[in-house]
Amino acid sequence: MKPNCSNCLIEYKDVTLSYGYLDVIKDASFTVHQHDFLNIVGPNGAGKTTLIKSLIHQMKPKSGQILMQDIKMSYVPQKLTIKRNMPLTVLEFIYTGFDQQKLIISKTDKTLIKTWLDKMQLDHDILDEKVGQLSGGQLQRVYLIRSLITNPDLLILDEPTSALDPSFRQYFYDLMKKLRKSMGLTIIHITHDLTDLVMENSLVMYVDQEIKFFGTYIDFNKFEHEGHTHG
Amino acid sequence: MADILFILDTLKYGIAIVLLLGLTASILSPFVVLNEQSLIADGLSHVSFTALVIGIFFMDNPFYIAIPVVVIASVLIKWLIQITKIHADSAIGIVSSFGFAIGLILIRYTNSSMDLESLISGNLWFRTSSDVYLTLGLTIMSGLFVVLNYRKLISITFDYEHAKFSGIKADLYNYIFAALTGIFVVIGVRSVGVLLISSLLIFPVVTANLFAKKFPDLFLIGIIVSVVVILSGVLLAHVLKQPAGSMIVILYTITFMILFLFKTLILRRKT
Repeated sequence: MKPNCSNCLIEYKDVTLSYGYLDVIKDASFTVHQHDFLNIVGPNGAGKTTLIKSLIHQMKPKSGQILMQDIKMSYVPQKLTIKRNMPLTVLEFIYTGFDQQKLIISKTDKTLIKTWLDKMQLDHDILDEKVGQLSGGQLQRVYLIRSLITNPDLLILDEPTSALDPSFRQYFYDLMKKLRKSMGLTIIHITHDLTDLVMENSLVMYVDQEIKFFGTYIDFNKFEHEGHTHG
Repeated sequence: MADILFILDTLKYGIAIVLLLGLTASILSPFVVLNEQSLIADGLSHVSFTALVIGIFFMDNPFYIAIPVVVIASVLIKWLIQITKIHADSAIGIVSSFGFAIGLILIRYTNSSMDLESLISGNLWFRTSSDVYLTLGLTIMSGLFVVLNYRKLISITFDYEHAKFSGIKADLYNYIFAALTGIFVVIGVRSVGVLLISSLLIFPVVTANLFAKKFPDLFLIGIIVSVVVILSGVLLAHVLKQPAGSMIVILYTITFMILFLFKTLILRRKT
């Protein structure tokens, strides 16, 4: 079902998510509009990743409704699980993110991949390296390329900068800012550390089993100073 | 020389079958072994023993009953992994030991004098041209399936959750793949035996993975190793008067050990 509100991509209506008898998220209601940059913050174990699981259809709600437009989503998970014994090159790996995949990778697709390597400040030689041999930071950037290369409408990032060095972290957020403008991208960004936040005009959702705050970054600062958050 | 030509002529169907099995295994194995289901062929071979026994109750050629029984068992293993969330090796263990237990009981009630030894170590001598066509059919089917779905299979093998998220019907592909593995096992058991069939599936990929720099290398190196090992194994088996299946497995093991030592001792020293 599609959301009722105008310009909405996603609408959660009283959604409860649970593992067995344990309710991890209770009665969550919120909307995400096109071009939003929504930061989901909260202490460890607050249910942030669970919320995302429901968004990418890996989990069904116990009660409530999740309404979404027909959009193309991309997701970079928190744990980048890779099979180190599988001899998959970076080129072959990034190609798994393409909508139309052919047996032989075309020159056009390779060129597109190379422009993204430049954007992520990665050397072109990395294409022939095995994914299992990349460093944590390289792997995270390669994952980001795979999720961005097909121009998604919604990008979901689960703690994307955890393995990135501080200088690239700043560059990464600037890039997200640019992409949000140029691609009309909507971004949902999970972090447990708000110092990561370099985005103006962004929204913040504070989750701790339930949604304790939803509003602008400026309003969240006031909410935080009133002592509502912990962890 | 004349002796070798005689062996080749007498065993031509057997050799063709085992070569085709090696080729099929090299095509399927990267997706099976790297999906941590190396022992699926071993488990299914136990089930195929029971399936052949069940087949004997109904017809002279138990093979045509064995194929669907093993395919069902193969799909059941995948289903168990998916539904109960138990590990692949446990699911394989459950289905194969249950299957084998039933087979051991049933075999007591068969009147047919089933040749247990040929079931265990296989037999290349009694193969006919129709067996070759059947194996060729399987090789073509497996080859086409992998070529047409190559990228999807890579996605599923490397990152199952992402494959599902990106809209690939990962479960359906897994079931089709399981069915193909099942057919491979039933066909292979008659030639290389219950106990040795899994080696055909495991050795090509683990050996190729010593040197593979990209995914297609697994197929290329796997096929070369399999063809060389299988041909040498069959000839050596005749010369030493030993079962061909055993010789093939021994040669696979020796080849793997030599190449492993070559890689660790010589290539690493150079770098």
